[in-house]
Amino acid sequence: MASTLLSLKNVTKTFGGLRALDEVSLEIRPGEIASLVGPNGSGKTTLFNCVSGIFNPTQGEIRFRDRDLLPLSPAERCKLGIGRTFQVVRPFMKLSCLENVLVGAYFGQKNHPSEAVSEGRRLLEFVGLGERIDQPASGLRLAERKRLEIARALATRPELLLLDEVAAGLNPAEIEAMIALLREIHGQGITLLVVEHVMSLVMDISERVIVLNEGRKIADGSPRDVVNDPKVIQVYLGEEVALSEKVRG
Amino acid sequence: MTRLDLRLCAVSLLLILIFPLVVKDDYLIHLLILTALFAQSAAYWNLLDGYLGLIHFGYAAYIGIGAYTSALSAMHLGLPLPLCMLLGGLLSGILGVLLIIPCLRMVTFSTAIVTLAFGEIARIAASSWTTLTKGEMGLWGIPPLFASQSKLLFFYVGFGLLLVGSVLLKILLRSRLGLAVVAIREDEIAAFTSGIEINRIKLLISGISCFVAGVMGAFYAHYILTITPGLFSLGYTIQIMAMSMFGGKGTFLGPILGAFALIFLGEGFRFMEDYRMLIYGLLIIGVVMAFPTGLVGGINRLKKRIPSKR
Repeated sequence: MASTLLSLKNVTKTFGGLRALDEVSLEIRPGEIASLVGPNGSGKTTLFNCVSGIFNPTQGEIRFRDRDLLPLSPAERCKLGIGRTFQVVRPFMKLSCLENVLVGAYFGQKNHPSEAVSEGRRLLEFVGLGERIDQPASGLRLAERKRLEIARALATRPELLLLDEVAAGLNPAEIEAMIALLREIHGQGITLLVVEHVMSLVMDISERVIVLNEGRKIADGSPRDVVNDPKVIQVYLGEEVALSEKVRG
Repeated sequence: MTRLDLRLCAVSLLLILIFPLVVKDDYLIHLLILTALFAQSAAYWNLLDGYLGLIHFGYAAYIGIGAYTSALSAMHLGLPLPLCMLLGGLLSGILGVLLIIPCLRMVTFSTAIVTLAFGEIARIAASSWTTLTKGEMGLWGIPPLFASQSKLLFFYVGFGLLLVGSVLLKILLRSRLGLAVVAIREDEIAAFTSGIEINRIKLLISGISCFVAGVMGAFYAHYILTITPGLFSLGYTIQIMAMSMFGGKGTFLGPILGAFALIFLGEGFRFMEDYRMLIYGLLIIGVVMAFPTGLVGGINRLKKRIPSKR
């Protein structure tokens, strides 16, 4: 197994004059749980979109298992083993939960699965939607929709799962359950890259935390190192610190 | 569809098939032939718009292209008619695919404009290319599909095409491809990142849908025997859209029911003379407002309200 699953080299993405990502380089190792954190607008979702192929970076290189991702469509990247969920959940509302997962199973894998339906049922049980198999996704609560998206992504048999704010908008009990679910998924050997604002989740599960600010990577290390990093403190408490500096000056 | 729905479909199909044998009214039979044609077109427009979510305002142009291609190849090349009809379908299908290629990068509303513009361009081309199409004079002297004066054979071929088309459509919708089609309508981005090659599927479905329009247009040409560029017009596309919405967009039976309903309502209102189209329009608006999901949606809602006996 390669020592790097996903690597970004000097990835820049500009939208007009805005540099959403600015020379970001990072590596995700197989089997780890890494978190991507940073203030709003720091480029986390943009990074996910570049990796999953919603759009390509303006400059830079993205490789997955040493394969260049840029020429590949989102569907091809999915078949290669990159699954994702969305910050604003995007289940197929009018389809049943099972059909949602079947989409992933039928189209997201390299080889056609022989028992997609039973696998779909098993995955729905696994994420805790066993009771809802034949209900349309539109009838689900937010927490359930997030779980449905996870099941759909798992049905594509990903090696790397990109999770975009799976805990946002959930209550504390639901967050606890989500953490347990992520651990189980990780336990199956799936590498997780998590974008998250809910710090309890980040600190609880991450082996590594990557911090973005205004499109730049400003820290990358163990959770404890990162929270003690002065640059990170400045970003998160920046205004106050800067203000007090001014007052003092 | 439940077993009851299936039985209802089988019974109504049987009734329709016996109808011309019992009621020997040429005009009614003619209306039914047109209904079959419109029903099929509405059903396959619905595949594009209702199931895939790809809005198409130029659909009638593909009926026209099929009609002219088939008529011209029969008149000038002397090919057997079934082959001509197939050629009409193929050319429509190919042009249907080509038109959607530039639309792949567009948002819905731009696609609407592009398809609308294509319909107009095709109509104007058919009207101006007089050496080939005889322009607004219309193309006449098209060989008929059947030499007999009776409309019976046309009736059975029309409904045969509708039946085959419907069965194939049902098979498509139930397949994996059908699941992908609906997933794309529900959320393109989620579909794309779940492994569906959305562009390929949009092109494929456009090809299928326009192929069917072309074949139906060809059938029309060899039935009516005179065609004009008016066949390409936006008016027909809108009629097809109205049937689809009236019956229930995104449902299997909706467009077929809608075609029957609107053609026979349109006839039923003839006694109102000048006010006919006004009433007809108001009725469509009324039904679409009362049942946003069309007749089929309305029926399903009523069914839920009546508690089942079991």
